[in-house]
Amino acid sequence: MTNGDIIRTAAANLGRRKLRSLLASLGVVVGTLTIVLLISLATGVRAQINKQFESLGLDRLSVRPSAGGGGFGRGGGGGGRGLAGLAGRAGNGNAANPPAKRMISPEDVARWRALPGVLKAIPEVDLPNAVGLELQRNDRTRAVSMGGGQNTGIGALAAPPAPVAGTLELPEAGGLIASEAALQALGVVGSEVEGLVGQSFDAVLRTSRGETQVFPLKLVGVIAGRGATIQVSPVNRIAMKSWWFNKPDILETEGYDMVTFRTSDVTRAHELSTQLRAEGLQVQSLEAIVEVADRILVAITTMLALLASVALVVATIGIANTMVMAIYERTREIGVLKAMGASSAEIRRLFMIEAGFIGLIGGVVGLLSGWFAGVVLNLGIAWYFRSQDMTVRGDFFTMTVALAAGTILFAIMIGTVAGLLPARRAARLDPLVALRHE
Amino acid sequence: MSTSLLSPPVVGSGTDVLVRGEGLTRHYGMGKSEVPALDLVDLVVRRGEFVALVGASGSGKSTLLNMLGGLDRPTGGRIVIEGVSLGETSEAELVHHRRRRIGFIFQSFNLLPTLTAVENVEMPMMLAETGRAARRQRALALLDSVALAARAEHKPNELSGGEKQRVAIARALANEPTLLLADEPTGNLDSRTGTAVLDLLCRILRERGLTMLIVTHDMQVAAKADRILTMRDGRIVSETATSQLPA
Repeated sequence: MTNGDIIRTAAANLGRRKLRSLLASLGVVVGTLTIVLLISLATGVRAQINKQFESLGLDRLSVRPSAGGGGFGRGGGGGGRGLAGLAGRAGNGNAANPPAKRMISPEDVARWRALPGVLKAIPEVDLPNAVGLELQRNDRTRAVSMGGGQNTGIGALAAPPAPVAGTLELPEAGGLIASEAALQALGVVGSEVEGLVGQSFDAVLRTSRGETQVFPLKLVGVIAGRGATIQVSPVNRIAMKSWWFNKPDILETEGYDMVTFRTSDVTRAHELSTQLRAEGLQVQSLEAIVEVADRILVAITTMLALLASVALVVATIGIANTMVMAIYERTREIGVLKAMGASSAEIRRLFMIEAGFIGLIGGVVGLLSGWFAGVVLNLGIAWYFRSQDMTVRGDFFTMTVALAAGTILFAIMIGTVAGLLPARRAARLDPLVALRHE
Repeated sequence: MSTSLLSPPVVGSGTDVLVRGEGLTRHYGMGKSEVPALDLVDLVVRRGEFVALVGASGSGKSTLLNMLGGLDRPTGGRIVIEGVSLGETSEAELVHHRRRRIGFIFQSFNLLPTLTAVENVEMPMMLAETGRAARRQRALALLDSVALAARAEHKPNELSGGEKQRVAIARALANEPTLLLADEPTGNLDSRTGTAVLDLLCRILRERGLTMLIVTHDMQVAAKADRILTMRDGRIVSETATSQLPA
């Protein structure tokens, strides 16, 4: 019996028990649908994460002083520690004898700026969380938070957004970038924003004891955003921090809290991060974060896929049961086939291919259902993000050719494995016993 | 002791001898004891011969037939068909024997219920890996030879008993076997249909020069054969040339 004839016969045999074959393949449908959805989600989310990081720029990195030694007192510099600890590696950590803090001095920044391939090295200074910061104009005062360097997580590595008005390049000192929300809190309506660039504002620091200090600033740019935030240059931040801690030489004694680098390319960023780690600094790069995110995603996907495979185990049992029933019903037929000269191997192949077909049917239906569900979910997610004024590029559920082919092959394999024992049983039937079967 | 009721006595292994069985035994285990289904049977069948096996139920007729068809192996003795000793041959050779040399005709027809008449006739050729077009052509020709060309696309449940058996005969002839083995082929048919089917079989045997062993309880059927072998308790106890029977 040729393979073509066996395949045609197996397909015809399934066709005569349509309902039972479909019910048997239902388990495979559920299993493959779940796996397809999970893997397409993982693929899509992975692509989304990579896309987001790429838009932030893998050619950027940031460094912080090493974790040893001193501190900032009242909560300063806490913003990005979690991620820095996750992605970066302290160059010389030693729990028993913590080394002295490796601070970042203005000389360091100057030296790094002179390194080849370093396009920018922007120092950042964190203000303590307890600082009461207000923005004041024409007797109107509103509480704001310090943006930019204050949020030293992934955002510190982000490419700057496009300005709503003016520029986002802060001068050495005295410049102010405010968010639209901060200006609106001061009673500015949307159409007036453009005309405010160049106008004088005051940043006011207020202690819990009621002491205040005013820092005169000029608005150079406006950024979009719902939060009421402002940004000032490192020089102004140093001045604010010095006043807060009453330490005029705080830059000399504490140094900068962070330096953000922009390099000529990803390779240079990688080399620079190695060099800076060797200098005993905590380096935070997107490359490392992408790797960690990828590892977490793979672990989650694997775990979920294993859970989904429970459905496939049930499907395997279902198919095996169907095949056992089919063989019982067709015992006499098997006897006739053997009497006509069918070999045991041909009988085994016939039933294994029948079981494989059940897997194939389940796989195809599961794949199509999974794909369709993914399309619907993508539309739903896109609609939700649009309703929240969030921009998402690409799909969360992504079907690839490899996933489709893998799913089909896996489903066929499930069916074939399920048919293995029943087919063996059919092949071993004694033709005489089979012919006498009623 | 083997039976000596063989006629005519066969000397050597002449080319006209198709089947030679010597001291054939077949024992079946029944718990701790063994029951002999065949007991030292000697048998010779010449090419083109039509031999009827008669006897009571359990006399060993079907066991002998199954052994000739390669569905069972002897526990003792030797059975040679066309030079191949079936007791010692490999499973693959036994499959080849069933596929190429043997055509089975069963009492209950044993047509595959989901296939049409022509597909049923095609099945042995499919097993023999005959091309699709060639096997369809031959199957239709065979159905035509049993006067069923018009029923080619009908499934077994749409055919009468006589028609089913004619399809089964056509199927048995599919791979041009040298030996037809028929187990009560008219047993499930009324006498008129049974006679018609038997006449058809006899015509085919004559036309094609085939050899056939038929198991039957019906002496009228057996009377159509060249020789009648009567079995009892696993042995051939008598042999009658039908030419010697009274008309």
